[in-house]
Amino acid sequence: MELNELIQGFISLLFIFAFSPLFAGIVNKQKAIFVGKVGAPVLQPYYELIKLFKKETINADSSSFISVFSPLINFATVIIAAAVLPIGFWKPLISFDGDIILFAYLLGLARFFQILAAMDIGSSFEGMGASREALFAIFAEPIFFFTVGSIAFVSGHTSINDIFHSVRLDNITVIVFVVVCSISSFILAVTECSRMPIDDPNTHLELTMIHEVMILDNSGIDLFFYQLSSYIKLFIYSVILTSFFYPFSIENYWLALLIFFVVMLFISTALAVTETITSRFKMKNIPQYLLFATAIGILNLLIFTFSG
Amino acid sequence: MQNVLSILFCLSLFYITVTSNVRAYISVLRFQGILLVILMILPFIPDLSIFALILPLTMLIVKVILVPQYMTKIMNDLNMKRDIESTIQQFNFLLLVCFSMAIIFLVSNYLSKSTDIAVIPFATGFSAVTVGIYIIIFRKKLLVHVAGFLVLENGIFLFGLAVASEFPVIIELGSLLDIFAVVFLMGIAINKISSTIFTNDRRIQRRDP
Amino acid sequence: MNILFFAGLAVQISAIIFPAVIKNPKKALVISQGFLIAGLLISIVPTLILLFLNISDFDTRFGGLFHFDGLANYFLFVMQLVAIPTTIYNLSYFRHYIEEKKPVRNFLIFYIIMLVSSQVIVIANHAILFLVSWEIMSISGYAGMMLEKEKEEVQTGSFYYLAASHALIFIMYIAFFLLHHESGSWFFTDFDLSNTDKYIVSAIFLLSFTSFGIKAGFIPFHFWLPQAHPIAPTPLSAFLSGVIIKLGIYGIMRTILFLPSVSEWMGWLVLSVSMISAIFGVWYALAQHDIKKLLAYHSVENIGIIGLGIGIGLIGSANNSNAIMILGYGGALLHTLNHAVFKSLLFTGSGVIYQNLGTRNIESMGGIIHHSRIFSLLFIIGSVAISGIPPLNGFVSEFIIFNGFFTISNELKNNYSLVMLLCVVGLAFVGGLAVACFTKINSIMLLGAERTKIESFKVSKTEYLSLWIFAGICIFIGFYPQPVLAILNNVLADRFVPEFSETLFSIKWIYINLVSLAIIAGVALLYLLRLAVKKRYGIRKSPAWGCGYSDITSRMQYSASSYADELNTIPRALLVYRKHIKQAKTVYPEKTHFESHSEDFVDRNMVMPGFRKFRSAMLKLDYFSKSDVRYYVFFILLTIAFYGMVAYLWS
Repeated sequence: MELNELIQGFISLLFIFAFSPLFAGIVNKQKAIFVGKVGAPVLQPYYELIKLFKKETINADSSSFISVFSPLINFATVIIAAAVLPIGFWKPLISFDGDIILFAYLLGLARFFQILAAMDIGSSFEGMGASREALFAIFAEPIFFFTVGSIAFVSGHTSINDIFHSVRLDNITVIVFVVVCSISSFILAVTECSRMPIDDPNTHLELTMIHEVMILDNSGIDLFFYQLSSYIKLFIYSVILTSFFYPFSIENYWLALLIFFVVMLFISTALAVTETITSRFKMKNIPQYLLFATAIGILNLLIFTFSG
Repeated sequence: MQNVLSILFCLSLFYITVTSNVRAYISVLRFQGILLVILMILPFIPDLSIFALILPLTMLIVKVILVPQYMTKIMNDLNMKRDIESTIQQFNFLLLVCFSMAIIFLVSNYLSKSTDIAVIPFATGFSAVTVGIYIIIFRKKLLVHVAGFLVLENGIFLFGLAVASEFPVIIELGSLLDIFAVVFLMGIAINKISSTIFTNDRRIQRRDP
Repeated sequence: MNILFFAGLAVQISAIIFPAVIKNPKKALVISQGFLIAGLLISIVPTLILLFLNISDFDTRFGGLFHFDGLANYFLFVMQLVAIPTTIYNLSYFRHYIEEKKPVRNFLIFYIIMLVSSQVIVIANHAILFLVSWEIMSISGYAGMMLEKEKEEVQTGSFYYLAASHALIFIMYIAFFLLHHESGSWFFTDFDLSNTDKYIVSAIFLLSFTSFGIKAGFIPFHFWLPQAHPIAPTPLSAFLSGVIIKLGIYGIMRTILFLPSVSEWMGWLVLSVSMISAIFGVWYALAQHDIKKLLAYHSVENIGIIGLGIGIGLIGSANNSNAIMILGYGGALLHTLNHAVFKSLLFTGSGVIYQNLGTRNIESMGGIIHHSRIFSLLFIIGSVAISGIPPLNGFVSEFIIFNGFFTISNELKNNYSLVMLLCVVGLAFVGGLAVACFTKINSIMLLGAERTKIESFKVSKTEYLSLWIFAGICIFIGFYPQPVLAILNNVLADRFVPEFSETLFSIKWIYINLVSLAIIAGVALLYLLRLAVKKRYGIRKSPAWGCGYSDITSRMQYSASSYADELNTIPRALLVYRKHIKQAKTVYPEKTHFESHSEDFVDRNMVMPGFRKFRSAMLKLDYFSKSDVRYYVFFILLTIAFYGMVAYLWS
């Protein structure tokens, strides 16, 4: 790896780290505008994170060292997973054959310790959230492999960087394939980042939440790490969605960056609109919803393979 | 272009599999009708003549306007409840449909090596037939049975489009089936039966709309 | 080199004398286990040297009965590596049984016999030696299981083990007789099937796969595993699950070496059976409450993953692609080692818990982490390893298998890509279910408040030593797999792959090393940050939010059944998942009760009815039984005459 690529990798990591709360802030602002409110300022997530950093940390009585280490593991693994993704055309820090598996399993590590930390508190609220999180994650994994993975199998590359670089939007078949893939990936992003219609990030009632209830009894720096990790996860999934459409072959540096920003903005609007329009599904319908997204992915792959 | 429209048709089939709202069935039927009309007009776009437009126009009127409107009217008259009554879990139903679709696509791919057919409309039509049959098997409401029957008939139509490029007799027969379905619906309306018929007497006596 | 190994083996065998001779069980325990560990340590040295230097030694001593080729050395290494910490664990586990005056000395004799005979199985070159030592291993395993033979579940479970073992030995005999018939000799090195009929080769493969598959535990032959593993004493469970099952895998790999050429349907058969075993093994595990039964079902899942690797290797062999073969067989063998290590870790951990709490039911545990933090940490390391999550060793072997799938799709295109994508999705699905299962166990057993009050939870030094050895191996292979991969390269180059290329190292392992280091470094740095913030802004503990309830008991936490309920309901017909609920009928609180359980589908619907029908059919033959013994003598005479006539006409 040359020094140039190393610098690009670090810059993209810093970019993710710095701009993910901004992205979340943009989504919230658009949600507010859509329903006619003024809404919180776009930089609100930053203010909240700084406020959390300065608060006293409180842990539950029956918690143990798991609650101490889980936010740290969560944050560290999410950052390392973000290092696998290409931001725009910057080469990612970690890029080798087979890193698509590493990406999926790193997020699995984060999820493992988050579930453990939730059950550590010893209350049934967190248990509910943890059990649902485990269930939905199992059905969301196939979606990832049927969208990004199917491009991997069709193109023959197994590194996420190479996979996205090999998508050329030449003819109508590929365009339809990529559009349907991105619909499935959108449903995946909504599930993993706990947005509507799977989970409501606004209410803190135990019956509606999956992700929010798992971090219910954390505060201070623990909550800081969890919130930042969830913002970074949202950003990661939006980057995956953007990379489907991103024209990697453009030479003009500034034009490429502009296109990146525009597509990310579009995705944030889609997220905001989806969150405002839909209501949350019944919990027992969610595996079926995820199977629906998988089925679309499978259908897409079949059509793409058999139309030549 | 045929492929893209068939893909949209497949997506509508998935939607009909997962939804649990009876009105959604009617809107999907409308959507499928429009897709089929566009598919019919497609080969004739270079030289449009009045004769080429007759059958699409009748199809448009019957499939997209008349039949869905009639079904909505029946629903409103009988104050039908919104939920389709399914006999198996929705999850397993979707799994079954996925599985069948995958097999159908693989088989059509295999067949396309020996005969000259357009793979995707062929497979889509065939899967629409299977989805229609599954709807008839696994749902209890009679109106939903009729909707499944109409999906089946759409599938036969698409199937015929894939196999031949002009209008063979089979497609015109398909249009006739449409009319038969309408007659079937009239039967329901006249007898005002809104739920299942082939059950024991207590269900009929209960008569919940 | 081999002299050293045989010397070590002799020391191990000599350890049998002590339990037989010394009357005091405690002294017998310590001395015999000490000798055993010494013997194992002496034998592991030549194994490692042979592996690293890639020397395949054909031993002409004892008339060519033993053969130390790469595969044999590797399985010896796995066995010895697992046996050493397990034997150390024996030292403290049996003190409790000695106090209860159980026949521990008998168990020790059988344990040592089982250990020695399984080592002999692996290095055997003569078919009769193989079969005889296999029988000795099975029977000593059965005898060892009967430590607490007064309990009914022990009798049932050990009988399942014995019945399955002998069924498979019968099928194995047929396979070996066919091999002998085709090649004319009993020696493995002489088994040359190049001129045989394709159908006989297929028959030999199917017979071997069935018999070794019953031992390994592929579905639908797995039904004895969840009955036998829970009831055996913990070191025996660990050894059964870690080593004895792998003898089945050894048998399958040895059979592959006998075959002249591999047809592709063999690979597809192994692949599909393994995929079903992996998915349903872990799904059954989700529905269990007994910690050892759960771990037994997990063994089924991991055998499925090993079988996936073997299937990939077979497909590569059928298509003459070195890269696929290396990735497939390499992944399978590495997962064998990994599974042996982390499953033994988990079993010994569950043994410690059973000794301290007296129950194997996870629904009544909880809060162990407050009593013993290091033990919980070791158990969590084992769980993270078995779920296949970076940075530990389960991820390394699953990564190789995933790469195997990708390589098949890249090298043999067309329709293979679609099927390989389905396999990748299946393996990811299995990984997700494993995460759900192990978070369930860890959180219910270790975390939260105690559902039943724990008076004391003591983990002795020898127990810690054995647990740390296992965890250390997991961490070492996870962070730095290169040495083990070098060993695997040598093993594969020996017999499996004709022209060898370094594909196992074409995966850029340096990135995995760096990622594992980065995770640990990141967590350490963030921990320092947290300490600084804690000092500045304060930290304290308070009760968890109770939504206004003032009287929360520890039983109000989430239970294991609730955690896994939704997941178990999806395939409830296959899991035979039943819930019995007695609900409150009025608005006032009254006694209610909930019970859920799941049975084994194969056992309940296929094996048991099958045996019942067989038994009723056999009972009809009762008609022929008479009370006079002379009728039986007459029938024996008739049968002998019949055989003699057939033999005369045949020759």
